[in-house]
This record gives sequence, C-alpha cells and structure tokens, in this order.
Amino acid sequence: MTAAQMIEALRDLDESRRQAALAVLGGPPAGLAGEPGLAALAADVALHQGREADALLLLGAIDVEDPSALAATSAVLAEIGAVRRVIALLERARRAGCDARLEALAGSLHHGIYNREFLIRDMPWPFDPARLGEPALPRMSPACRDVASRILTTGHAEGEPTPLTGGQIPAEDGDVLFQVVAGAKPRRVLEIGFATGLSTLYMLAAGSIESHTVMDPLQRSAYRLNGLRNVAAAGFDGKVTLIERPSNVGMPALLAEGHSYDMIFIDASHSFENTFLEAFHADQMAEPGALLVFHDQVMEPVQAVLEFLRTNRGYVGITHANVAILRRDTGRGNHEQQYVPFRTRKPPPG
Amino acid sequence: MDILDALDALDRGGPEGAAILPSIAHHLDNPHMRQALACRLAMADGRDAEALAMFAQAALLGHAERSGFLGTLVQGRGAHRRAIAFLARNEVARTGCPVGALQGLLFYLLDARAWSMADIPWPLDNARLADPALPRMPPACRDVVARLIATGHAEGPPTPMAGGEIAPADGDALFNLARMLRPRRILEIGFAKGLSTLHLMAGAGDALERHTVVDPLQYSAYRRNGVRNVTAAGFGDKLRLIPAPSHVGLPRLLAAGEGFDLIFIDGCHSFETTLVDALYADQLSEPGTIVAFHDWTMEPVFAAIEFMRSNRYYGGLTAAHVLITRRNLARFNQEQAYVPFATLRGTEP
Repeated sequence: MTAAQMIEALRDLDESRRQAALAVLGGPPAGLAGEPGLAALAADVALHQGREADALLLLGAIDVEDPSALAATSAVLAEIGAVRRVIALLERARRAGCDARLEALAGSLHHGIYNREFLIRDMPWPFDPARLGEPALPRMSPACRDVASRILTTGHAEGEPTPLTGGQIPAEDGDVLFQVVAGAKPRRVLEIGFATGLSTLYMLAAGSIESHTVMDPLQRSAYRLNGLRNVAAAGFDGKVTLIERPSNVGMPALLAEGHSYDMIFIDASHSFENTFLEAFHADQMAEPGALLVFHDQVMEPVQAVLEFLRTNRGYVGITHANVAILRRDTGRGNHEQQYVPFRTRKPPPG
Repeated sequence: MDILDALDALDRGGPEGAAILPSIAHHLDNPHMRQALACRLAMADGRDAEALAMFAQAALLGHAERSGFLGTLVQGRGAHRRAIAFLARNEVARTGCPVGALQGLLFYLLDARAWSMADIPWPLDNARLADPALPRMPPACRDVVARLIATGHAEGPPTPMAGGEIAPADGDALFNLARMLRPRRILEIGFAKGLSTLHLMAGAGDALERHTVVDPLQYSAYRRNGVRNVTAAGFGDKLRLIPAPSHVGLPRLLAAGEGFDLIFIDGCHSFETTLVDALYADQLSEPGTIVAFHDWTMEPVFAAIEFMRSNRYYGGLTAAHVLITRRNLARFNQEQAYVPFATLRGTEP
C-alpha cells in the first residue's frame, strides 16, 4: 500500500471519528508524524469500526525496518491512547499465524512501553493518607460484611474448609486497601495472590471497581475455589475473573493481550524473585498514575524489591500497617546507564 | 532397563511404547499414576482427545490422587514440558476450567522442582575456552565473522548501530562453550548483528537443532542484518527470531512448554531486564542447562548475577566478558531462604 493509498483509506473512514482523532492530535498529523502515523491512526479508526482485517492491512503497510516510521507510529498510537488496543489486535493476529513483520511491530510497541518517558509532578495521592486506618467493615454492604467478618474471625467462610486457613490479611490491612480504592476509584484492578479472597472483598466493597482480575494457581486445588465462593456470596459475582496461572506465566500473557490496570495489588509468594517479576510486569501494565500496592511490606525480600523500585524506577510510596502503596512519578529511558545500587537487607529497627 | 529409558520409550509411543507400558505400570499400585502413564502414551500417539479426557478426569481428583497423577506425568526427561506443550497446543482455557487449572499447577511445579548437581561433573574443559574459534569455523561462517570483527558490518544495509559487537575473546569463549556442551537447543537474548550467534551456532555444529534469538530491535535498528548474517553463514534454517522484548518473548516460550540446553543473556543490561532474563532462563532450564551472561563486569549485570548466585545457587566461571554458570541446587520454598545480596561490586549487602 502506498502512502497515498493510506491517506485515502483514512479519508474513506467515518468522518466524525477521523475529525475527533485529528482534534486529539491538535491538527493534521503530517507535521507530527508523517504518513506512517496516518496509517496507525487509520488502523485505529478501522479497529473502532470492527474492521480488524482492514486495521491489520494498514498496520502491515508500516515499514518496520524504518526506525522513523516506527517512532511515528508509536507516537500517534500513544497520543490517541491506542497502544494497548493495537497490541491486543496484533497478539490475536500472531496467534492466528500472522506475518513476522506484524509481530515485530507488536514487539516494538512493547519496547516503547518499557522505555516510555513521563513525569508526574506534584500530583497529590488520590486518597487521603490520614484516613487509611479508618475501619472499612461498617461501610460494607451487609452481605459483604458478613463474609468478611467470618473470614476474619475463623479464616473461613463459604465452601468446604481447606487446610490453608489463617493466611488472610488482618483487618487493619484490609482497611488500608478499602480506603485506597475508595479514594483512588480504580476501575480495573489486578490482584496477584487470591486465596480466600478477603483482600478482594475489601477492594470491591469500596465500589469503583468494574473489573477485578485475580491470579492464583492454587485457587482450585489448595483453596477449593473458596475465594470465588466468598466473592459471590458477598454479591460481587460477575466482577471477578480468575486466572489459574502462576504470575510468571499469567502476567506476561495479560501484558501481551494489551491489558492495563489502574491498580495492581501484589500479595503472592513473597520471595524476592517472584515479587520482583510481579513488580516488573505490573510496571509494564500500569499507566502513568496507576498504583502498585504490596502486601507484607515488612518482609525483607519485599522490602528489597520496594527499595529497587524507589531507587531505580522512579517510584514513590507510603506505607500503612503492612501495606505499601507506590506510584511511578518518573518514567525514563536508557535504564542501563542509570543503575543505582540499592539496599537488599532490611534495616535494623529504629 | 533403567526407568528413565523405559519412560523415554513410552514417550516415543507406537507399538514399542504400548509394549513397555505394562512393565512400568507393574511397579505402580496407584491407579492415578497408571492413568498418567496411559495419558503419556496417548499424547505420544497423537490421540489428543483421549489424552485430554484423562487430564479432565485428573483435574477433578482430590489433592493426594491428583499429586500421584501429576508426579508420574512429569517424571523423566522432558516429560514435564511435553505435558505443558500438549495443553498449550490444545488451547486449554486460561480461566474457569479445571484442565486449565491443572496446567497452571504444571507451571507452578516447574518452579518447585528440586535437584542437586553435586555428583554431576562440570561439562567443560575450562582450559580450552580460550582456544581460537575462527580457524575452526566453516568457511562461509568464518567469512561473515571476519567481516563483522574487522568492520562491525557484513550483510545487509548499513545501520546506525555500529560497534557493540562482542570482543574476539568473548566469541572464542562462546564457540568453545557450545563445542564442548553440544547443545540441541540454544536460546539467545539480544541478537543485534549475530556475531555471538555465529560463534554459538558454529560451535554447536551438527548437535544443534534450533537456535532461538529474542530481540525487539532486529527489524528496526538492525535492519535484519543479524538474520542476513546468519543466513549468509549457512545457518539460516536453524534460526528462529522472536522480535519482541525478552519480558514478552521468554514467558511465551515458557508457556509453550519449551526448554533449552544453553542460554546466553546479552540483551538490555539494566538490572531489571537482566534479572528478568535470568529468572526466565532459570524456568526454561533443565538440570545441567548452562546459563551464560555477557558483560558480567557491568554493575547492574553483576548485581543481577549476584542474586542468582546467592539465592538461586548458580555457580560457574568467567572467560573474558562471559560468565558461564549452571544451577547447582534447586529447592522449593524460596521465600523462607532469602539472602540479602551485594548490588555493588566489592561491597557487602
């Protein structure tokens, strides 16, 4: 497809969406991105119209051996918020056996996510840090409060008892999760480590979450699906999607499918290596401003991961009870030149 | 016959596989373990629907019975990954499906494997790692390598990415490493112009079945020069390029049930990507797999390796800028065993 044909394709598409896209770009995109950018723009319009084959045709016309064409494509897709949508489309195409060049385009977009640069200056926390200790139970619906109370007192609510009782979060940590969600109002949440679902209940009870994805390879075997039963009994059936994979397989699959989240809660195996991998993948799926929340922040390997995020990845954070809440304020490229040695041993108390 | 050899025969399927099944099953009084053997034979014979039905039954078992099934399913050389690959090929649902959950457990158990290399000798003659590689390469390969060493460029259009190739001494180490190890499956993270690839492929020689490279910049920054160079050297038919960042490409290989005999890490040299590469290399390794790192003297690379050494029991030696390691001990329950590690050379953690 020639450049002229690409522009023609854009012209043929729905006028109101084309105008809206051009308005987002601040005018005709020629000066910003040139023709490859137009192809990306047209592809997203086609995608919106459900014309996936046309979208792939337009994306396939981008010369992936031309770095400036790729840069223009990334810039336009980022500008119109379409990077993850296009990644999702390209992943579907890859699974169906697409051309290697489309795979390379997806790889380039992922590379761009890793290297993205941004700066969040002086943005306040989207919740009131002074209120993180306020009790959540009284603000839950009766059904949710009933399930949460039973788990808090006996370690078990719905379903058959399992040998794995007693590992649930204490109420004071649940209060923190509730207050963070109540303030930040995330719509899409990812939770790593599900178990009996008590932390899930605290987050869902705060009301804003539309889609809550939980990941736990042991939910069916060790926990006998009790987490799902508890969530359903609390009235949140339909909001929770369970992925029965360890995070080292499940999280990159979500990334490859173009998912991103407003808040990611990490409370799984707590080893340094698993927590580090989870933080890395979470970072790739967090848009600027999203919250990364860690449970068991007092544990030494978790503290080492948090220390790395603060010193090397531009994260800032606050802790309350056994919960650490982090946000990335600085995204910068060229990480290998900027390594900062970090503390891996827990400092002595006081 | 050794039990591992018998399981190999079973996994080759056909009449011999069927013939050997009773002799293995004879030692098992647990019906779920015997079911796992039947499942392996069904997979080997391409009776996918039957195998899937057996997985579906196993997925509904109680904990002890399911453990018996899984333990027998994964026993032996490569059986664990073959089961994962089979379920991946059959597109078991990731959510809300008992067989999908069983596959999730197979990934979980991969990380929970335990072994010791205490009685396994180091597979390399360390004194020969510095032998010159160039004279022992096939002529077509030697020609491409010599041009890359002399000018930083061989086949394809010029790119702005000049320099950055591995040093000749590093190439010698990689060539000799592959020549002594004779890996069937090599994984390389970071491809660029393919100079290290050529050394590894030439060293592995006929033993090599497939060389997988992961590099998101091969098309754009490198204009496919790496692919062109490997093809000009005569190794193109064994090369597979995954044009994605390693944090996307390596999990995909893991999810597909792939494993490797030699893994060379020379991608982005930040702490986070090096450690992510090393942790996925660990999951893609079998006992005895060699994991080599380039640029081990770089501070962030050193720190990532230091974690693998202190917490994942990797040990080895250096040859020029290449650190050659293998995992000497694998054990479960890592979170109880965390050891703070040095993140700056010459310091205590």
